[in-house]
Amino acid sequence: MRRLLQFAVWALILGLGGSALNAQEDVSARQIMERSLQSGDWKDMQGDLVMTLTNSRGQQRIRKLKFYSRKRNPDESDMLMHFLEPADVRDTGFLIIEHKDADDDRYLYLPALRRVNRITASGRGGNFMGSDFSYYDIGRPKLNDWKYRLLGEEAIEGHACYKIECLPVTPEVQRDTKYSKIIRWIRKDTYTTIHAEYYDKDGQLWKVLDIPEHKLIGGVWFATHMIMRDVQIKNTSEIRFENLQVNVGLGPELFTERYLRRAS
Amino acid sequence: MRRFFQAVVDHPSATLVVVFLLTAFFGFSLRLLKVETDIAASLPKDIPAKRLYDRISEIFPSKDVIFVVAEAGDFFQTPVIEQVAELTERLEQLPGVHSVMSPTNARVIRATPDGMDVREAAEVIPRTPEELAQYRERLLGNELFVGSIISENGQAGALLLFLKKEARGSEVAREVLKVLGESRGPAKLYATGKPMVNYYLEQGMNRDWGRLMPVVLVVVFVLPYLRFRSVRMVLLPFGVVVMSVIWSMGTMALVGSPLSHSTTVMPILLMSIGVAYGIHILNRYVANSQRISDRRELILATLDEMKNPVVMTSLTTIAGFLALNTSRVSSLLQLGLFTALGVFVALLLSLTFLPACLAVMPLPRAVVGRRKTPLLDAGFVRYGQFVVRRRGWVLAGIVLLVLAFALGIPRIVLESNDIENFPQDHPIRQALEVVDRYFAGSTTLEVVMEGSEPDAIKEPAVLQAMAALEDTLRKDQLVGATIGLADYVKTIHQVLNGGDPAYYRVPADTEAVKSGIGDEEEGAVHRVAGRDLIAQYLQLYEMSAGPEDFANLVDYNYQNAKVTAFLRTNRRTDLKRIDTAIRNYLKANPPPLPTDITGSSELYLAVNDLVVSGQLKSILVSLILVFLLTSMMFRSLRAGVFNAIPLFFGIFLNFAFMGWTGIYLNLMTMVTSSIAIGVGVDYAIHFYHRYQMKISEGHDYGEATVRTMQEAGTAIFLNAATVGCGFAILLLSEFRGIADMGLLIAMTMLWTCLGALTILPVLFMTLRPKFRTAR
Repeated sequence: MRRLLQFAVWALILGLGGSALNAQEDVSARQIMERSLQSGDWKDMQGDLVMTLTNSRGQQRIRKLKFYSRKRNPDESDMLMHFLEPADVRDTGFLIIEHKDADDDRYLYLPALRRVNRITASGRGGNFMGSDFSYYDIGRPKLNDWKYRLLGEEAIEGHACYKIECLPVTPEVQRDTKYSKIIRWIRKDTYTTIHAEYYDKDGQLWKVLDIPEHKLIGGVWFATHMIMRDVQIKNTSEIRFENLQVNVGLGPELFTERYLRRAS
Repeated sequence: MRRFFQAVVDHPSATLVVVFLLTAFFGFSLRLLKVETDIAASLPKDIPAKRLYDRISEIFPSKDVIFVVAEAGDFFQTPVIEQVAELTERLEQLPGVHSVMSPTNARVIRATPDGMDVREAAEVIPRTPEELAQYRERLLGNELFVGSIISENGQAGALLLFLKKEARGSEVAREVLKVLGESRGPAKLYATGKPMVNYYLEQGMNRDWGRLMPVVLVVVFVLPYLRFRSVRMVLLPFGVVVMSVIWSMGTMALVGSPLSHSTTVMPILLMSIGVAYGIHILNRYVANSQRISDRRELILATLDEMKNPVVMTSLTTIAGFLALNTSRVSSLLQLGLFTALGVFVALLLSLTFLPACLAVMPLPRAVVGRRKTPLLDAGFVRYGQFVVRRRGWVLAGIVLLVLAFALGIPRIVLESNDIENFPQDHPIRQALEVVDRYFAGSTTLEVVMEGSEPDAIKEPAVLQAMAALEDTLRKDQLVGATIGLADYVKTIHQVLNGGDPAYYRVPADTEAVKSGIGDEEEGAVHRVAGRDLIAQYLQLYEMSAGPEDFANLVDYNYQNAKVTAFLRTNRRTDLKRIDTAIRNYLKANPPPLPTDITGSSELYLAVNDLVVSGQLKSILVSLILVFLLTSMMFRSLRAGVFNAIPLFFGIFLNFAFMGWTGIYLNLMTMVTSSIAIGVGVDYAIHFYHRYQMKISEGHDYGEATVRTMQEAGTAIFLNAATVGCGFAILLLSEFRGIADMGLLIAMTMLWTCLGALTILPVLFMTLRPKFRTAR
């Protein structure tokens, strides 16, 4: 469950402005990765999320949600989501209370039942809300789960990038993430990942990530548009963030069951 | 034509170089040959059943499934569960495996104080009696699992391996067998499913090649040797058939036609048929060498004499095989096409390669033995005299035979069952038996509902119709289980209503719902649209477990859904009955959305329909072709009719024989008629030709009969016997379909030969037709 929360917190923020590091500096692959995982200095945020899922036949499912998040302390966060679309799940609410040393609390409010359901995270990573993003993809990668190697430098869409190969440190990491290899392209100027390839257990290319848009909001680089393509089954998932606001002063009362029951 | 033969004989080295270069080219292409064992792949794309199947496969990108059964007496013992858990993990890691659903990792919807929860069935291996009892209840109490991953009696569990779309099923199957072989534990393991069947088909095809090819090579080597007693002479017809196989298979490889269960018999057929042309030519060559001493003249005279009969017999054979193209089953179409091509190559090489070799080889040693069949010859004279004297008896005998056999015709069983094709003690048959004993069955029937807009499936009326359909399906004894989205909705509805069995149903259009704990109006009852309830149930499940559990039940945006029934049969008659019952039910209770039926059961039925229509069409077409060819050959339509009569007789006896022996009419055995017509007509042609000669020599009908029997009887009989023996090699195949086919073709050679030697003389003597006295 922690991963779901990290989605909101970390995946959004793919690094700070690159001013801190000189591009000429000789950096190791691991240092590059470490740098790209550093998050900005923010207390809370809110915005709209639009998720568009497209399958190989061109069928689409669109989900719109309003989300709120705040850092309870440097290591733990809370997050609240309210569904706006599709209409038949409108007002469904989703609340996550992250715990550093225990399973997160996850609650789903179903308005038709007028009832809050506590949901336990099922063992495996799985897909995030039915998309091609797994919880692992949108969470902040654990630095120590992977061995890093700098494969070289390449330009993606005109941006100079480091090309970094990530290999699982243990078989457990591979089983958990379902990836045998990830290759990331990290911009040299902003240290944001703008392109990545994910390989399955058979060593075959499985998914391709593109992040065509980052926005600098409140001094933090946010990935506001992400596209994940499953090249094996040819599905595409697209996530866009809109109306992002940072440090608006969200209070703790927002992240409670009581608020969960309230229409957005 | 003569100029062509002269060129060949005058430039033998050039001819041989061209032939060898082409052989090397086709031989080299053989590397590209692919293997395709999937019968569904060879169905024509434009028949409705296949079109629907393909369209539905696109909506529900179904993956190939391997079904692994763990049989353990009592499944609910810790060591068994441990073995299955370990197996699940190992199989999940196999290349080509997308995911595994097993009794240990299946997701279970459980009630919790706060609502519901979806967890793996054995997150922790149950060890204490209480844990084992709970685990047992978790699996056996769930309608979604009983019959699919746990047997109703709790004695066996099953692992469903979903393969990646691009995986080579038979390769994964081999790896799976390896893992099963290494698994240690109390459970006995079996594996089945389409990839396993295809794997065993490939294995069997390989073994068949290893077994049948040496035999057929020996036969096409030894037969000519018995005749000519000269290795050098034998190598010629042998070389002709081997090269024709290489050319024909090389062409298959070049145009991308795969080696299938059908086309695998092509080399055997081709060799048995093609070897005759060379023997015929050499026969005359040896005989003519008595009177012609100049080699060039000898070869040319022999070719001039033999080109018509050899071309004629091969043309009728080619016509027979081409008639298979009317069947519209691509593997049969390829069998017909490439055997026809091979026959043509054999003909071509017999008229080029063979004379070119003769031109560079020394003359045959003087007389190569007189005919060593005085007994047979004498026998045929006596038989001829008998036919003349007692043609009424012969006629009566034929009529009696036909009548006795006629009773077999209604007994013909139409069955394209690819499992019964394997020998009784084959592992796949044992595995299937276990699956059918413990589980829902391996043939699927799918009822598909197609909405016109997204979310159409979430309507209560649609899900209610699906649930009612499942209930109806389950009442059939042969339906082991059904699965559909409604099952999930019903389970969640019950779990979220305190587990009350009264709620194990699809929500109605509006439902009374009691507000949950903590609600402002806690305990108050309010009315909710069933549609919203369903949508939120599904969302709850998707967020708890993941949407891939629904991938086979409903499509991406809930526009189309399907109900799958697992059938414990793949017999045509059962499938037909169930199909009709469902269609009638759907007519009487039309669901709110357009509904159609597909699945492997429908493909089986379509295959059988094709067998029937293809059989009739190919018989008709080959008869017409052979009729036209023989009419042209003898320049008389009447001749065409006479030559076709023994074929009718042969085909009739063939079907009757199938009826009496219980041999199925299916994709393999339906080939028999076309071959019978294409090859079997040779005996009639031979007889007709000789009879016509005798009449034109001035003999009366009786005398012509005796002389024809004397001069041609032995040759016709031996020809039929040797060709029949060649086809009988197929009896050594481990596949029942192929062995049956070999037996039937061999028998049909006998029937058509018998027809030519009995019906024709009786007809000639009775009707006293005029023969053209030309040539």
